[in-house]
Amino acid sequence: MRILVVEDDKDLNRQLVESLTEAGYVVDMAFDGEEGHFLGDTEPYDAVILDIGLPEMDGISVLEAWRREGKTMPVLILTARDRWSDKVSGIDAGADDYVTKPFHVEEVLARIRALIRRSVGIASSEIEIGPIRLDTKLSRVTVDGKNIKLTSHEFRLLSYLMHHQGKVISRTELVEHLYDQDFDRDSNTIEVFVGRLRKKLATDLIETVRGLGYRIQPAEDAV
Amino acid sequence: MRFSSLASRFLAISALWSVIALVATALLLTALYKNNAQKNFNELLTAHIYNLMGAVDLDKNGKVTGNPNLGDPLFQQPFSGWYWSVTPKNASTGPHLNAIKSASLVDATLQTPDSKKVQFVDGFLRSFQMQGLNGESLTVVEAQIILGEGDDVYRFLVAGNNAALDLETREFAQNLILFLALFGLGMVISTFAIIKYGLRPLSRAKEALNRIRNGEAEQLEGEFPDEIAPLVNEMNALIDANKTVLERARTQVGNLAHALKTPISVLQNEARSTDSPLSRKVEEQVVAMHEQVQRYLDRARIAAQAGSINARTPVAPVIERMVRVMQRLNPNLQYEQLMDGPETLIFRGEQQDLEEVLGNLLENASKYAHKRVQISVQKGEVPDSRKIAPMLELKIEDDGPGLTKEQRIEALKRGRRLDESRPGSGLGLSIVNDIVSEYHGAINLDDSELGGLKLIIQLPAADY
Repeated sequence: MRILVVEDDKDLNRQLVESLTEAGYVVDMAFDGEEGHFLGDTEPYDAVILDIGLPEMDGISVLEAWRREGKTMPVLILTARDRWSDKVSGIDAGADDYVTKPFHVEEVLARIRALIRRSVGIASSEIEIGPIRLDTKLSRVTVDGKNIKLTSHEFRLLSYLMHHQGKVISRTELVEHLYDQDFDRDSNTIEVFVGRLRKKLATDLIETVRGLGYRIQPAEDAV
Repeated sequence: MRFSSLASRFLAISALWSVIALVATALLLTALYKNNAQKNFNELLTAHIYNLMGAVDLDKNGKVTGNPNLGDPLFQQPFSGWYWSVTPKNASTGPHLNAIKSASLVDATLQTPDSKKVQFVDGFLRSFQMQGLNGESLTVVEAQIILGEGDDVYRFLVAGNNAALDLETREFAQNLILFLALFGLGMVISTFAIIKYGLRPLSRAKEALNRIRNGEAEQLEGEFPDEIAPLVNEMNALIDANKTVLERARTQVGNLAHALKTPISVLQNEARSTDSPLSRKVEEQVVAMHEQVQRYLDRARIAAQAGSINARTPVAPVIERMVRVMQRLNPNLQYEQLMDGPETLIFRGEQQDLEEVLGNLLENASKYAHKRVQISVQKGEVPDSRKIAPMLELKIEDDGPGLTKEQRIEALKRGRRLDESRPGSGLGLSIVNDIVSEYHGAINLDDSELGGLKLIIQLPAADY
């Protein structure tokens, strides 16, 4: 899951990036509206955290520009203004949710998790497919109730496939969503991670669709 | 004497001037009339003199003779005040000189003043006032001419009673006073009408101000005469300036408070990332800072609110927007709106406040609802202390678990005061409660037919 943080306050930006990274997300950051707009326009993000009061181009304008250009990723706005008239203008501009300052980073994490789940149509904070259970809140994976230790790359890969269960995900898409913009993109590494995941999970749930990519099929009894 | 109204000032001045002008007019006209009447009287008497002179002559014995008939029977009535006589100027010059006189004189003689005192004009005619035989006031015309061949001078005298003249003058004055009094009354009435009509724009201005106070208008509206138009324009400018100043103050307090929120966020998160006495202290202080910031924001909002007198907010668009927002935040819930004549529902207050109330209540309802949230608005009337005030009744219901009676009482109590509230505590009714009580509205909680909680809010309505 790849997330963009657009916040001009360097400390707040850093705090958000650190917490998101710790929670297993790939994070890009921008410190002004123009940079934020450019990144959101050119890179595929699974969610965006956008401050309203930004230099160069304010958050509302950035958001409106994205929506005009057909970008549909979920956007969480950060606003110091806690009056409803301010929240309404943010949501009218195309935001999916808001958090008012001052906030605890945990609050932002919870909202982002919910937004990503909502954008792919998953209702619960735990995704279960067959014996595999992914807890998005705790970033934890269990198989048949047993804890599985995964590296952050492995966790991101599994999380992305499970969030998009039933769909065939190309290697390019995986690379775009699992690495930040500065990563040297080599889709062959994906193959390595898939192999390791299959071994650790000890199931054959991850299918390889020849020439297209990978897929996790939802189990009959799964959501 | 003080006059509290312009109308009474105008009336007093106009009445005072009317009285002075009319009294002066009456005096002047009466004097003129009297003068004129006196002149006519003199002319009448002079005509009698000429008649007398024509009817009297000397006979061959040198005696004055003749039987003049001056036409007025009063000359026959004794001491009527109407007399005539023909007498020699100097009775002493000869016993042969005789005199004749009207029957009204009987045997008396009128003692005319000496010719040195009242001179004969051209040595021929004079006129004067004197007292008659019964003390009556007389006008006398006297002529002196020579009768016959000799040089005996005779004086011809005709006297008229002034009583007739006085009566005539008095009658004129009475009529005049009656007429002038009516005229004066008419003037006062027409002045009153002029004031009423002339000052009508002022009462229209008063009504226009009233409309602003009632929130039915934002400016003094209507056409005003040139004299008041500048005042009306100034008032409108003042209202605008007031609005601008309030808006600026509100914006500046808001900017400052909001600017502080980012550093507060940073401090808060930084403090939470480690556990030490310092970080606990920082966190505690940051919470206190945030409460201060929030308090001043709320205070600025309330102060700004108190100053605005003319807000009108159509309800339907606000509800539609809030529902759209809620739908986006909670895509799984179903929102229903019920409004009686949506375009006639107008909130007498600021849009921001209505949005705040609706936003908080809908957010609450959405948090607890399973599937459905319903919002309905009706117009109603609530007896105010003085008059029946039009009210809006907003009901927000959900199909969630609802509250017990005790919980409902507790929820309202907790929302009572700003200071007691903590973020996220209770139903978060405190801000709603503050706004509603500013507008002298009411909040009630009840069970909803949907199964959950029903919030009933009453807010003032403006006329459609």
